[in-house]
Amino acid sequence: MKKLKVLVAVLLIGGIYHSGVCGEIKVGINLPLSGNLTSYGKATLDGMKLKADEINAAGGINGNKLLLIIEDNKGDQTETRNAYKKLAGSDKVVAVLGPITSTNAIAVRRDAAEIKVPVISPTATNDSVTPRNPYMFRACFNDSFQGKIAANYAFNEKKFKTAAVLVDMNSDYSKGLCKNFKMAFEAAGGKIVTEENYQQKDTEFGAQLKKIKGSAAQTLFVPGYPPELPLIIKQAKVIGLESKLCGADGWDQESVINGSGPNIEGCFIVGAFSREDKRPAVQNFVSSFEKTYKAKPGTFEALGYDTVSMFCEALKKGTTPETIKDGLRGIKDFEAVTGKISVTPDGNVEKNAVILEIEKDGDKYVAKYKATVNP
Amino acid sequence: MDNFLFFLTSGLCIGAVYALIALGYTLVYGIIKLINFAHGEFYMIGAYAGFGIYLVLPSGTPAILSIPLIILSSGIAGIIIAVLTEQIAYKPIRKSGRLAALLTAIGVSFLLQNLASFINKANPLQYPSDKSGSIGEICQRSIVIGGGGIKIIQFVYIPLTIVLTLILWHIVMKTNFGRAMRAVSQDPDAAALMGIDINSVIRKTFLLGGLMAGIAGALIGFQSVIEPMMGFMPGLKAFIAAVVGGIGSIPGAVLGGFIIGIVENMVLFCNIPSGYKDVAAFVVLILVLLIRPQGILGSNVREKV
Amino acid sequence: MSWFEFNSVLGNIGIFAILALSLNVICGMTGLLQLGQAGFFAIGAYAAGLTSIYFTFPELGVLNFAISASAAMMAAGIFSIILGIPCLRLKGDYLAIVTLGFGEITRLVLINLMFPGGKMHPGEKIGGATGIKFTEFPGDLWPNSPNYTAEFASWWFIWIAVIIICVFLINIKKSSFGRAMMCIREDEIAAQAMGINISKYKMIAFLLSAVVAGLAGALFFHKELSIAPGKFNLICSIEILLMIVLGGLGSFSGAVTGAVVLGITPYILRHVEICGYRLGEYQQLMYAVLLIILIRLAPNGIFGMNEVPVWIGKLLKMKNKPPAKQNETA
Repeated sequence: MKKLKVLVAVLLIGGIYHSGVCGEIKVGINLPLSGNLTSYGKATLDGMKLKADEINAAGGINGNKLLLIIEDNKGDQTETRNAYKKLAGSDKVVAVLGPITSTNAIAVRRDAAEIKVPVISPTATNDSVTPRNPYMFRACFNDSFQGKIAANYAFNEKKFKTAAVLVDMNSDYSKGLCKNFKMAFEAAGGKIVTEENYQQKDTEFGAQLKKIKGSAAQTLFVPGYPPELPLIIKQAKVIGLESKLCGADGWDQESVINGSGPNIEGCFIVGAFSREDKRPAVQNFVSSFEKTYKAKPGTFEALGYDTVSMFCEALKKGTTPETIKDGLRGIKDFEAVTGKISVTPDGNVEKNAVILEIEKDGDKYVAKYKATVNP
Repeated sequence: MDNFLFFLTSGLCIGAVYALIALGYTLVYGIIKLINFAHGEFYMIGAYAGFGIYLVLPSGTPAILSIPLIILSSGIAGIIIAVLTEQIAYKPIRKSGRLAALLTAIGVSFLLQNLASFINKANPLQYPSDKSGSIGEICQRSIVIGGGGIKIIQFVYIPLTIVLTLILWHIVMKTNFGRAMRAVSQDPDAAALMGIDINSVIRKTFLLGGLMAGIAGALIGFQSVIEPMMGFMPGLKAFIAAVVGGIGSIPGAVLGGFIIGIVENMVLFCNIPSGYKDVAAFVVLILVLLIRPQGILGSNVREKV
Repeated sequence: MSWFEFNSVLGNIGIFAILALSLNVICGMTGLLQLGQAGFFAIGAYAAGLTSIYFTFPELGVLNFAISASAAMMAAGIFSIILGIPCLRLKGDYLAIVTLGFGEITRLVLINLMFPGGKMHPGEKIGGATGIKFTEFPGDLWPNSPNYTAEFASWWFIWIAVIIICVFLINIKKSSFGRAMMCIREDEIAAQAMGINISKYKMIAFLLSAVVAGLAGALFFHKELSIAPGKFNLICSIEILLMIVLGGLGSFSGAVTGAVVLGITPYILRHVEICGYRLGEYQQLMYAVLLIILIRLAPNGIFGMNEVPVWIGKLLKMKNKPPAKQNETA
C-alpha cells in the first residue's frame, strides 16, 4: 500500500512539473474509444492527431507545442461529463475537443458553463448543442441545415413525393434530424406518410420495416449509426422494401458503406466531406492522411482535423480558455478541409454540405460526390 | 390473418431457442436449487466460440460442413465454460446458503460479460454475408411468410430443440445417470448415502446445461449479431420460461420457452410499440407466480417444519 | 482531483449510501432478496423530476425540493405496495427474480414512455430513452427569478440526509419493528409461530425500503438535473447489493461504509496508471471478481450485522481480554 502511495505521489509531481516547464498547450480530447461508437471515436482521433502532429512538426504555436490529453468517454453521458470535469478541472486543459455525439455534447453544457473551458465538438449536429452557452462550439453544420438539405434533395432532385422516417430513440442526433427532415420535406411540398422508431442495440427491425413497406413511401430517411444501420439496410432488402433509403453523416463509415450488403447501392446521404473535392485543402489532407495512416480518410477524420485547425486558429488571439473562446467566435471564412468555416455568435458554423451517392466500384461500394450545397 | 402467421412463426422459432436455454436452467435448478444467472453467458460464449471456429476454418469450406462444425464447437465451448464455472465458483459455496449462491452466480455472469467485452471491444460481430454461399449469406436467406421475412435457418431451430429435448428426456428418465440425477434432485444427502457420487452428477448436469446453451448460442449467432451482452436478456427470459413451465420439469422448460416466444411476438402483433416486447416476459412471470407459483407443469412441494 | 470532480463524486457517494441504507432494510434486516432497487430509485427520480418540471414555484426556494421529494417518496411507496402484495408469498429465489423483473420493467417502461413537456419544454414530449431534463434557462420561464436553480442537492445537503436516515434506521433496528424483521430473516416459520404477523412486517420492510430509495432518487434528480433510464438498470441494483454485502448485511453504518468504499474506487482508479494500463477500464471486471471473492472469504462483510460502534467495542474487548489460563494444568 505504501509503495502505491509513493508511486502515485511521484506520478503526480512528475505530471505537475512536466506541464509547467515545457511551454506546452494542453488540449483535452473527449472521445468514445470503447463501446459501440469506437470506430467513430478512433476515426476522429486520427484526424486530430494528424493535424496536431503537423503543427508540432512545424514548431508549434509561437514555439509552444500541442499536448493532447486523451480521455475515453465510452460513448456514455456520465462518463463524458466525468471526462470533461477531469480534463478541464484537474488537468487544466485550455479547451476540450469532443464529444462527438449530440447527446453527450448536450450533457456537458452545464459543466462547460460552470468550469468555463471551451468545448468544440467535431461532429455533434443537434441544434441545441451550442446556443445560449458561450463555451460550446462545433466544427460541423447542424441538424436544421442537414435535415433541410436531405429533404430538398429528396423532393427536388430525386422527385420523391412521399417519405417515411425511422428514428433512433436513444440519439438526440437522430431525433433532431428526423424532426428537421420532416418539417423541410413537408415545407417543400412532400408528404410524410409514416414515422417508426427503434432502440439502440435492437437487432430485428422487421416489425418497423413491415409498417413502412405498408405505407408505400417512396423514400425512407434513416439517420442512424452502426450497428443498427447495416442491419436495417440488410433487412430492408430481405423484406422487399421498395422505398429508396437515404441518410445523413452517420452513414459515412466503412462498416456501413461496405457492411450493409447490396441494398446500399443508389442510396444518397448528406455528408460534410468528400475525398473527390478538388480543392487543394482537401487534396493535401487526403494525401497526407493516406501517407501517415495508409488508409483513406472519411467525414469523421476530416472533421477531427478541422477541429484542431479551428482550435489553432483561435489560439492566435491568446492561449487561455477565455481568449480561445473569443478567438473561436471570431473565425470567419476559415479555409478548412470540410469547407469554408464561419462561426456564428451562437457557436454554430456556417459552411456547406455535400451530397454523396453510394455506387458500386468494382466489388466494393463507395460514396461518390454528387453536389455541394451552400448555406 | 396474414400478419398473425408471421408473428406466430417468429414466436415459435425464438421460442425454440428460449426452450434450449431454459432446459439448462431447469436442469441445474433441479439439481442444486441454484438460479444460474451466468447461464445466459454460457450461451454468449458458445456464440463467440462458434464464430471463432468460423474464423479458423479455411474459407472454402462448404456451409453444409461448417455449420454443423460451428454448432458442435459452440456446444463444446458451452460445456467447458459450464463445468469450469461449476468447479471454480459454485462448488466451494455449495453449503453457504441461497444468498451466497445467487450473488456468486451474478458475479460470474458479470465477469464473463466483461471478459467478452475486452476481447470484443468495438462493434458486435456478425457472420459476413458478402460472398454468396458463405455462412452469413445462407443464414440471411429468407422466405416470406405472412407478409414478413423469416430466415430459413430459423426453421432448423424447432426440430433441433425437439430432438435435443427428447434425447435429454431419455437420459433423465431411462438411464442410470438420469436416475442418479433425479435422486440428487430429490434429496442430495440420501442420494450420497446410497453411494451416488454427488459431485460427478452435478458436474455432468452442468455439462448438459452448458451444451444446450452453447448450441443455442451458435444458432442465434448465425442469424443475428454476436456481442458481449447478448446473453443477458435471453438468459433472463429463458429463466422466466423455465419458471413458467415449472422449474425442474423438462417438458415444462420447453413449453415455457415456446409460450414466452409466442407471447413476445403477440405483443408486436397487437401493435404495441416494440420497446415493450421485453416487458411481456416479465408480466407473464408475475402472472404465473401469482396464479400458479409452481409453474404449469411443476409440482407443488410443501415445506415441512 | 479538482473541486468540481470532488463535489460531484462526494454527492454521488452520498446518494448511493442512501440507496445502500434502503436496500439494507429489506435485504439485510428482513432477509428478503430484492434485486429491483434501481426501479424504486428510478421512480423516485422521475417523480421528483416531473414534479419539478411541472410544478416549480421559484418564490418558495428550497421548499420546491420538499415538494418534489414528497412526490418521489409517495410514488415509490405506492409502487412498493403494488409490488409487495404479490411478493408476500414468494420465497428466496422467486422473490429475487420477480423483483429483478420489476426493476427491468420499470426501466423498459421509462424508455418507452413519453410525458407532456408542460411549460418548461413547450410543444414537445419529454421522456423516452434520452430522459427528462430541467430547463437550463430558468429566466425564460420565470423572468423574475433568472438565477433560480433546482440543484438543491449539494454534497453537504446529501450527507446530512445520509446521517439523518442512518440514525433513523438504526433506531428502527433497535425497536420492536426491527426485531420482528430480523426474526423473519432468521426463520420465517419460527417467527410466525411466535405470533409475528409476517405479511405486515414484510410490507413495512418493502415500503420503508422503497420510500428511502425514492428519496435518493429525488436527490439524484436535484443533483444532475438530467436523468435518463439507462442509469437505472440491473447493474445499478447489483452495485447497491454489493455495497451492503461489503459492509455487512444488516449493518446500516456498514452499508454507508460499503457505499463509500465502492464509490471512491472508480475515481481513484481513473487517476492511476500501472504499466500503461489505465485501471479505470477494468472497473466492472474488478467488481465482478470482488463479488465472487467476497462471498467466498468474507460472507459477512466488514462489520457483519453490527453497527460500527458495536463492532469497535467488540474489537476493543478482544484486545483487553486477559491472557488465556495456560498454567493451570501444571
